[in-house]
Order: sequence, then structure tokens, then C-alpha cells
Amino acid sequence: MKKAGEMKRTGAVRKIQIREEACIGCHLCEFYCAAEHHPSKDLLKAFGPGRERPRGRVRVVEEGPVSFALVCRHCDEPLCVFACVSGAMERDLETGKVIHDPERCVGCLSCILACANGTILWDEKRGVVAKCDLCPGREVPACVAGCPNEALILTE
Amino acid sequence: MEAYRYLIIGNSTGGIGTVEGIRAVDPEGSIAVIGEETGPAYARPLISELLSGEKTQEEIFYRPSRFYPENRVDLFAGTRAEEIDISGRLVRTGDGKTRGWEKLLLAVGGAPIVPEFEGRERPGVFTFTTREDALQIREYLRKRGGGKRVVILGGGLIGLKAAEAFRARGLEVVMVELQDRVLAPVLDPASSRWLENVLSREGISLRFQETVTGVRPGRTGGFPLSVELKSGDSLPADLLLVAIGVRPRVELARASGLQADRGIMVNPRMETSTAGIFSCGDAAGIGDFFTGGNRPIPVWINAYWGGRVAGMNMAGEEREYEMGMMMNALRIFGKPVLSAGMVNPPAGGGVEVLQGEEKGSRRALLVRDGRLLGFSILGEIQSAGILAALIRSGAEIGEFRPRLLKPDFSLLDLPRGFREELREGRWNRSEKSSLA
Ligand SMILES: Cc1cc2nc3c(=O)[nH]c(=O)nc-3n(C[C@H](O)[C@H](O)[C@H](O)COP(=O)(O)OP(=O)(O)OC[C@H]3O[C@@H](n4cnc5c(N)ncnc54)[C@H](O)[C@@H]3O)c2cc1C
Repeated sequence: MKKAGEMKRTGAVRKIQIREEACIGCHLCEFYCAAEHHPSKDLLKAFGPGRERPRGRVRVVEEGPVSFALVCRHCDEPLCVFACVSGAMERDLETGKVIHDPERCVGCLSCILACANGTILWDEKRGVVAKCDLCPGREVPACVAGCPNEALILTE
Repeated sequence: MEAYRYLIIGNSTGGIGTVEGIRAVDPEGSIAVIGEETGPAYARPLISELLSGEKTQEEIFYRPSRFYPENRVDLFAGTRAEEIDISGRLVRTGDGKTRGWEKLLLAVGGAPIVPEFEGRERPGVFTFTTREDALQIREYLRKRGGGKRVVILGGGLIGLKAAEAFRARGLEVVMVELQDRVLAPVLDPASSRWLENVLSREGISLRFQETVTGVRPGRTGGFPLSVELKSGDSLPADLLLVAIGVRPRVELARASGLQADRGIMVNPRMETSTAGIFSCGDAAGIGDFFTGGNRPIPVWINAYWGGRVAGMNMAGEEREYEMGMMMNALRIFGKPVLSAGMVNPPAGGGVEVLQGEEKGSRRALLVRDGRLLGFSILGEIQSAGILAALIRSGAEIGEFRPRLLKPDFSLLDLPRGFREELREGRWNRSEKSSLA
């Protein structure tokens, strides 16, 4: 069972690994992520006409020939959790996932200041942050599954 | 007498960080936490949400209620540690009990500073650092039919958060600040000005280079207080909030023989001058990268992180604390304000200030010898954490220096090697990082 707030190096922690040289800058990961986190979980419904474009938790940056996805590292010693004043950010002991509860988030931005990768996204409209949750309920996170060139891969 | 492997004084973020640090290493050793405040630990920064009425007491608990039992922690809340007997390894508390320990930690935080002006004890004069303060202010205002105007002494983080809460309650707010700007210790001057524009738009009236000299009974408009200022002006008000800062609570440590000056002295392992006794948070003086001094860094992450490092050391895993700088995050009237490290260039020069400003956003970066020392960023803050990591690492910013000012700055703007290091979590000053 998960222990509240307790953090420990767990054995097999699954992480998304970024392979810059394989990224073709297609942004598909962003779409799959946004759809997965849309109530419909459906790409067409999420991005259908007349709808507000949903936001995902992964973001592709590009310049010239270089492109790659920015996505949470699920650090073993996560500074975002240390910084979180409300307790919304937690590290799940069993899975090693750093999870965020938007209900408890007050949008104080402390985690954004703490994250050395700039992967926690500020959702100004909702006044809370958003980050990768490794897609609960899915064997392989949507961004990894949807990446056509293995620029995002899952490692144990 | 009960005796514990680990005894923690202070049930707030420093104490909780310590518990979590201990449990990450030692799942078994007995732990007790002694807390002067009642109930489980709460999110101190959220007492302004309690004051505004946006959140209830339960909604600001810092950890779920299962935290203490799951971590096998005996919590003694509502009683103060009065005396530490170092040679006997005992702590005596206000409820007359004595408890033993093998490792001890003090996360006793700070106490609000109230200057010696006349009338400081008068009803209607408050400080604002505890949940109880927020509840008492609410009760006081309720009795006054909501109140009409408050005066806040101090334009720092706590004063600003209180100002926002009072505005949400529909009160007029006058902010009195001795310096010539808000947040002077944590923002560069131009960023203070930027923020002051926001505050003025939100109806907060700012009185700089001014202070409170006394509080008398009110004379006009049915106000209970007349707040007297240095300039000779007096402000009729329902309430005066004194928010000029906190000072570390070093008394208990000092009385028991621990070394303390501006904070309880600790080494990088967070251990005090006496082996086996640790400290962290607002009470503990830790070294700062730039000044080397041992002044506390009174922010949340410092207390938690320091506590976590202390807890791991207490449980036998060697760790060194690596924050070593101020880190300040604030969202005030919806505007993001983040800063870290050195924000005001020291007299004597040698520090360059790079600045950038776009609509709704600005940034100021301090650079010396090709290394980033600190920044203030307002508005577009998405990648501020990368800059904070660059400061901590002490890395040379060389050719990519102009890129640091880009509003959409991201990992992409760093050399590939740097990106890899940051992804692997290597950003600190220790040898394992090639950044430094
Ligand atoms: C209104 C407000 C807003 C803030 N906002 C922010 C923010 O947005 N971001 C940020 O980073 N920081 C913020 N801070 C600062 C932050 O809350 C502190 O840095 C942090 O709480 C320090 O944690 P600590 O555990 O060291 O001490 P504290 O949180 O002060 O806790 C110390 C505890 O020890 C108890 N204690 C003291 N002596 C004894 C004793 N002898 N026996 C038993 N118990 C004792 C105290 O009663 C207290 O409960 C804010 C502070 C305030 C007041």
C-alpha cells in the first residue's frame, strides 16, 4: 500500500526516456496526451471542430533541426514535491510516480520554480499546474504509444 | 517515560520533511513529533486562503489524515517543548511529560517581529503567521460587521498575501513599508515597480519610506484604531496587521546549550553544534552560496528539504543539503512573481543585470563572472526552474547567455550536455555534476 508522503527509492520505476535524435517534431505526442487527458479520451472528440483545444502535459520544443518533448522526469528526489506548499504534489512510493492533485493545488507556482526541467505546465486559466501522470490505467503512456519514431520510450 | 529513536520538535513542514526523510531510510525506528499548535500539520502559506474564506481549516491540512499512523508517528500536538536536557537526552513538555530520544530535531520556525511602538498590545493589532491568527482576525472582523479598512505594516510576502485576502473580503487596504518599494529583499527594483502597478490597480494604497509609530483609540468615522505614522499622518482603521518578518526561535536551542546566532547553527548535514541534534527550516541558519552567512532562508521548500536531509542523516544515510539560496514563488492577484538567488546587486559592482520586458511579463537576471547568480521573473514564468537549477549548479552560462532572457526559454536553449544532466537530475554543486 502507498504510504502518504513517504518517499523511498522503489525498485522498478517506469520512466519516459527522451531520445532527441529520434524526434521528428511532429507534435503527435502532444495530441495523444491532450486526448488521453480529455474526458472523452478520444482524439477526434477532444480536437473536434468548435471545441476549445485541450492542453496536454507534454510539450514539444523545436529550433532548426533539433526538437524534443518536454515531459516530467518523475525524479527520485522530486524538488517539486519538496516545494509544494499545499500537499498537492506527492511521490507515490510504489510506482515512483510524482502525482499531482489539481483539487488540492492552489497555483502557488512553487513547483515550477523548483523543477529543473521546466516540465510542469502552468494552466493560467484554471489557476493550477498540470504535469505528466504516466497515464493511469494504460499499460504504455499515450505519448509513448503514439510516437511514430520512438523518440519517447518507456524504460523500467 | 516514553523514549523514541527520533524525536522532532515542531509539527510543520520542517518536521514533516524530517519524518519523510527518516522513513525513506528507516521504516522501523520509533518517531514522535511534538507540536505547539493543535492538530495535524497545515499549509502555513495558505492561512491567507483561510482568512479570505476561500478555504476551510480541513482544506489546508498539509498531509492526509492517514499520514501519522501510516508513518507510525506519535503526534503530541498542542503542547510545547519547554526544556531540552542534552546529557540526559530528554525533552520536557508543557503538559508535564518528559520524553527520551536518541536523535533530536528542532524545526521550531520563526516568531513574528513586532516593533516597540506604543499601543502594540491593543485589541485590533495582529500578526499573521499561524492558523490561529487567521481565525482570530476573521472573528474580530465579524464582530465589527466585516470592518472597513485595515493597515498592513510591511510590504513583504506575508503582508502582500494578507492584503490580497483582505481585498477579497472587501476591505480597504493601506500598506505601510519602510523601504521605498515592495518585496525589496526578494525582487530587483524594477520588478518591485511592476508589481506595485498591479497592487495599485487592485486598490491597495501604498505608503513607502513610512512606518507605524503608535496605535491610539480611533477618533473618527467609528474606527476603533488610529494608526499613527512617522510622517505625522494618522490612519483611522479597524485593524493593524504587523507583517515585517519573522525571527528564528532560537531560545530553546540556546537555553539547552546549542550554538545559535541568527539561527540555530547547522552544518551541511543539518546537524547542530551537538552531535545527534539536528535543525532545519525557519529556525536554522544555513549557509548561503553567495554570502556564506548562516541566516535562515525562511521559505517552505528550504524547511521541507532541509528537514528531509536532516531526517536521512538522523537515520544513518549521509546527505548534504544543497539548496543554499533564496527561492521565492508567489502569485498575487493572479500575477506570477518568482525569484531566486541574489536579486539585488551588491555595492561594489562586478554584477551585471540583464533585463527583458514584454507585455505582461518581465525578467531581470544577475550575472557575475559568466555565472547566473539570481533572477526575478514576473508574468511568463514557465521555465524559471531551469534558471534556478543553473544558479544552484554554479555552471558557466557562456554562449547561451542571451537566450536566458527569452520569454519562451526552455531546455532547448541549453547546450545538449546540459540538458542531459538536468534530465538526469544532476544540477547541484557536487562533483557528480559536470555543469559546475
Ligand atoms: C502567511 C504566510 C505565507 C507564506 N507563504 C509562503 C509561500 O508562499 N512560499 C514559501 O515558500 N513560504 C511561505 N511562507 C513561509 C513558510 O511558511 C515557512 O518558511 C515555513 O513554514 C517554515 O517551516 P518550519 O517548519 O521551519 O517552521 P514553521 O512552519 O514556522 O513551524 C514551526 C512549528 O514549530 C512549533 N514550535 C515552535 N516552538 C516549539 C516548541 N518549543 N515546542 C513545540 N512546538 C514548537 C510552532 O508552533 C510551529 O507550529 C509563508 C509564511 C506565512 C506566515
